[in-house]
Amino acid sequence: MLRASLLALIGVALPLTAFGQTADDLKNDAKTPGDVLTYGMGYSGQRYSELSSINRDNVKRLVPAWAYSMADNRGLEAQPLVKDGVIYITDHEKTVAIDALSGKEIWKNVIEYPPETTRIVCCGIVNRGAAMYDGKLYRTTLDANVIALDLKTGKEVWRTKSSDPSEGYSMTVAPLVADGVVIAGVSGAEFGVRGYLEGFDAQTGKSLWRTYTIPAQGEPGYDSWPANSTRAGGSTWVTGTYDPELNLVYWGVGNPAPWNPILRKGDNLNTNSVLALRPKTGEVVWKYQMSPNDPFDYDGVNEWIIADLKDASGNPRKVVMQGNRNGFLYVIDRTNGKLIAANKFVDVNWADKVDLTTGRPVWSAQTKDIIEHGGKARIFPSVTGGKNWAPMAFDPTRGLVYVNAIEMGMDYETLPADKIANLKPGDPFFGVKFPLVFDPEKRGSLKAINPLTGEVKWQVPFKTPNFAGTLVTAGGLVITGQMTGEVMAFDADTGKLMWEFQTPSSINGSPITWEKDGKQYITVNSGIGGVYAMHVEDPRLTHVPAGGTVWTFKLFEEFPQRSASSN
Amino acid sequence: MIMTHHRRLYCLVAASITLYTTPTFSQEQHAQAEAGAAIYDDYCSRCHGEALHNTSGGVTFDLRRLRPTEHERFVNSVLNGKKDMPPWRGVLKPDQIEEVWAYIRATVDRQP
Repeated sequence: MLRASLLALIGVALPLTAFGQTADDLKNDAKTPGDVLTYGMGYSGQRYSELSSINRDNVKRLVPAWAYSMADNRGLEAQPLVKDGVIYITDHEKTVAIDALSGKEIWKNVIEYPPETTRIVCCGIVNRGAAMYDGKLYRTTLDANVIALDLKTGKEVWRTKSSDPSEGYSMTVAPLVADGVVIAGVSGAEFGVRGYLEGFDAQTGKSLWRTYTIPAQGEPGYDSWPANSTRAGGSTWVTGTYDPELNLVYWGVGNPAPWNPILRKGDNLNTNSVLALRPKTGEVVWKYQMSPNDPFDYDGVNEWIIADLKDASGNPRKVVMQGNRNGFLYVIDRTNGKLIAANKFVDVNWADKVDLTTGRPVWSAQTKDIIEHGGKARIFPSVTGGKNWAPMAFDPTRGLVYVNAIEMGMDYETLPADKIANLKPGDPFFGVKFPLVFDPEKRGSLKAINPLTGEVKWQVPFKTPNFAGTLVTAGGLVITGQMTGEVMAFDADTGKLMWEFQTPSSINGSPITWEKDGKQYITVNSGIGGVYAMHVEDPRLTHVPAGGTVWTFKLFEEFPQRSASSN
Repeated sequence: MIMTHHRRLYCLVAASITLYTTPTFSQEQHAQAEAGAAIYDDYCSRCHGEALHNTSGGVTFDLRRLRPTEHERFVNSVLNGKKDMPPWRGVLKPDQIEEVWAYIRATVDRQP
């Protein structure tokens, strides 16, 4: 009887594990270069690969293995996933599975959403990727649904409507599966949402918990907003990371709304913060706020990279790190939320520094003035941030982060209070002007930075800032790309450009690397879109064509003999 | 050298003053264009570009290409959507759409 049920269990379990991933597979993702199962190439989000067969000596032989058309003129911002020789990619309207070696499509699942949805999408009609667990692929939709697809067939297994675009909510985030729970966040701080994170049952899609980022009456932090204010913002649109040992998920929270701060004096908790949560319940164990009472859209959603570092006294520290929109690079103790370091990584004039004892920014005179009365000032960095959402990478062997920094300012000005007095969810929540100011010779740089000291080991300037993620490998290469379409490989020690390739559009996603049968490959999307391409004037982008493609590169070898079956 | 969109805004204001003094551009039109600029900032600029400066290379329509004779086509596209643009019927009121039109015309028609 016992044996029979055991056999039955094995019988059920085997087909699942053949195509699926267990919680252990996800935990070990960074150690298994044959696949990429998680956003960030490992739960720590380091985007570091131990693969080294493509390296500084041979990278000049890197050539395309194949390219695949996404048949989409919207931006491609997703990070691909790889499992058992199949690559999975999302855009705003579809999910595709591609044979990793041949580039042939295996399945495609097309999503429909109402045309009104894009009214409340501020910063690009995009999707940032999927999560994988237990034979399923999980993704969000622009109209704020979370769906699960069968990994093998692409058929929809479940669909859960999380919220509604008519109230300003949308979803572009790649979900995170932690401790068996599918966690997703929302976009919409520019349209007056009350942000939240939500956990879903991986098998059924049932909502297990929802944790709002802005406290309700009676909850701690409620009085950090004026009594009659809108209490809006705090979106959660960039994927968090997970420390299985501490069983904590780290997730960044976005800006308060409206951007104009004059009717919301106070810290506006928990906007522009990081939350450390229990994945099973959504319980917040600790939190830390980077930009209290923010007037400048210094959205705190960027990546939270998990690493173990030695601090200035040589003590080992468990940390999370973020290159924040506000121009500071934060290093925080991930066991308790205490600030360890916060160094400027671009020009910053909204704050003089971050006080390491209190953890609070020391506002400059012009910021104090704007928060007190409104007004105008030239502020660095701009609303685009010292860095936008595209994730930086961390090389644990060199102890450096590789950041695509954005170096622009703005002539910020608050509009009169009546412009923001009667806003309701779904309306545009701005109330400010912010024309950008920049040096036409340099709007951004790729920088290698010591996160504890802020020391810049090397930097490479760009006329157009990069909005691509970075990837660093044991082959001593930093891989990233330009808005003008070039995929690039830099020497991780010196910043010397070692290789580049012109793709047809623009690199706005996060490159990955993986191996199959002992050979290393690099996969990246090309497809112009996103906030900079659409909103910011940049003559260098006028001749960058739209059109999404997926590219996979390998070291050059003799022309492959095709087998009969592939003809 | 720092370049700024303010420079263009100053140009716009200067041009508005010039036009305001000419019989073809009334004070009312000037106010309408200013209101249109604010609506454009909130609803349109995120896809069509800051201050009408569209460098998307055709991903979204460059509104500076609209001719004075294309008012009807403009209103129709805004109300009903076009290609990837959502319909704005029920969100933007008819007079707001006219204000955005006035802003586009005030900006484009004074270009040399």
